[in-house]
Amino acid sequence: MVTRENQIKPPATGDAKAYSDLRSDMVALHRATLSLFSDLSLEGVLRRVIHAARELSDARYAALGIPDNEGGLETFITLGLARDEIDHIDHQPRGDGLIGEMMRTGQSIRVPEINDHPLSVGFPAGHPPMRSFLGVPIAAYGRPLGQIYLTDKLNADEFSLEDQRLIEMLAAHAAAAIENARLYQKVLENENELSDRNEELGLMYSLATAVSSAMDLDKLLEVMLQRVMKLFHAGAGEIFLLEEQEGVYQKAIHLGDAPQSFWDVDRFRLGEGLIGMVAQEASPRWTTDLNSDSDYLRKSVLQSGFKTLVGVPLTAPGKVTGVLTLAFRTERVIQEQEQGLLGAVGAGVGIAVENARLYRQARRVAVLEERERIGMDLHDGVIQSIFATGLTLEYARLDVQERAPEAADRIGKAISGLNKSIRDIRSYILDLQPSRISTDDLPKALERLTREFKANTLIETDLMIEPEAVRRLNGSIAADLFHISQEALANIAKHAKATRTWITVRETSEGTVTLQVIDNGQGFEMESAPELLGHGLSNMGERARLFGGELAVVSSPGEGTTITVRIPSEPVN
Amino acid sequence: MVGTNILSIERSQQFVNAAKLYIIDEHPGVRAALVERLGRAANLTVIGHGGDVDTVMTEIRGGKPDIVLLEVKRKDGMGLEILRQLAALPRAPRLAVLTSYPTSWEEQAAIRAGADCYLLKDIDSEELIKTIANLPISA
Repeated sequence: MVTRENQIKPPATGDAKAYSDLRSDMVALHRATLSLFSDLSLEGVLRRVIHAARELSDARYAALGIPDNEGGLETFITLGLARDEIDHIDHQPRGDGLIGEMMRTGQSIRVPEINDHPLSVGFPAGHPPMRSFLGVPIAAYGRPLGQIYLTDKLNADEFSLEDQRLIEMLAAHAAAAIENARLYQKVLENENELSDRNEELGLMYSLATAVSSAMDLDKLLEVMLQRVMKLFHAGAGEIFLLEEQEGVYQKAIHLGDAPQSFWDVDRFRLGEGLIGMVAQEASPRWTTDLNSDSDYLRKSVLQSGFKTLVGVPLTAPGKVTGVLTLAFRTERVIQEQEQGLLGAVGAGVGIAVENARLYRQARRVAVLEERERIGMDLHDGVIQSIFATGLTLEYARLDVQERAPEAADRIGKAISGLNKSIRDIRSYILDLQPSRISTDDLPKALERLTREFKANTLIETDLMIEPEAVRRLNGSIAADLFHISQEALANIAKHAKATRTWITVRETSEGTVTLQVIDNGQGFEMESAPELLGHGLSNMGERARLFGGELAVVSSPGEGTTITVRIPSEPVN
Repeated sequence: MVGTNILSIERSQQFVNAAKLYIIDEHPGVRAALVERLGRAANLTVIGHGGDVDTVMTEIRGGKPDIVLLEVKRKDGMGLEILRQLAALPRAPRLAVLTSYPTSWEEQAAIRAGADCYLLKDIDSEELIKTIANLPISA
């Protein structure tokens, strides 16, 4: 429904034709205005403004200038000039003459002959001749945003006042559209910044979760470095870690498209080179002058086009546990806000590294303690008694030597036997050392174990190992698996009254390797398991828990016992 | 305190310049067997033995042995500490560790704490006597 207010009133003195012209002008303006807002890029909006202006005013040429803040023009777009005509023009308008006057006054200028205007400075050399001129400023809230220039009115000697009013209305809409496009630009930038922020938050979050997880140190370093490199768009990165020998930093990982390493050496002392300086000062350093600031730097790093190197200290309370370096192919300047982020990243990775280290240490201590306990038991209970008995025998041998040489001989044999027992027990204690078994040795170690078990117990034993499954295992848990198998077999020998056992190591699902020790013995009531199996079972569970696996025992009277250990394994690559 | 726990042995058999030996081990059976066997050696005089930390420190301060033979593996974990305290004595005795089974960290720690040698409890007392009697006298 059209109301009277929505309609354009005919001019009081005008005739039907004037009214119709005005009406079609308004329709054209309306259409042009709508089109301005259909484009959100600033460049697109400016193009649309200049097209609409030329069409609405019937000009041969149209142009649009955006002022810089020093009285000149930052952008100047033209319409109607051919490519080669533009090429012939000596220089862009400089913002003096009529353009300068419009900037000063903020008013439109309309003249039939440009060169006749008292303020005209004429055209630059090579400029095609132009006569009639209409210039209209674009402004928002009194702030100049640009200017529309129209020249050579078609089919008339000069632009009319109506033309001027129409273009001024267009300019008002153009101002809104330009502001709109600029705001949109800003929103986009903010959004980018926001997504950068999100990525930063994501990194900090992943650091925080890594701190609380018991991740393997090497894996942890790789994940951290990858994330930091991605966040800063670095071409390559490295992490150096503090050695147990204080004051020495050793390369732990290198990622990215640079040569194997940035440096000629893999170790830096405190204060030595970029790594040592960052560690000493406990604050980030960067250099964009790799040529002159390149102690220990490999020539190949420069040759492969790297220009900037950033070193970040990895900090834990009271010490610098490592140094993270990032390399960039550009001359990268670190923004103030990025410095804060680098510091936070350094603290996050530092704590995660320290945590992983402590975890590893705790694990080592736990295993050591167990070994120590068993060693002490054997020392106390067995070796000491044998040794004392042996010494007494030696004394006796000295006594009987002269009187009964044969008795001395027999005593001598008894002493040799005792010495052999002591040596066996010693090697048993030393065999408790878990680091001596790697994944490569595991199948052999288990074969030896089952062979000995069979020989000692006469229980039929089958061993089935998938080589592929063993390869997927993390090297450090091979010893744990061996000891769990050992404990399980010892339990079977002591309690099960079995005639057969089965040991299997298989990949049971993606990312899980399973060790099973099964016997066909008498089994037991699950409720009484703790008392029955005692220390052995809790030891096995503890070992499994330490490497992130889980142990399950299933048994019932007369049905045998199955011990299952599920081990997280490395994915297929 | 001198002489309280000193075992009486047949001194007539000893050389005048035999080295004075003190034995530390928590295991009474081991101590008795060592005292008996090493006491028979012409170049050693066993002047005492003990297991408890306070007792042995007191007796060693009083008896001033030339050599102390000790087991570092102890239930109270004081083995290395005893070594350190003995090494810190004025005119410290030569210190021979005699232990059930070897571990590399313990051997290193014992040597650092002042031990002159780290020996294993093998039933070969002649070799043991030869080794400890010939320990070079420290400066």
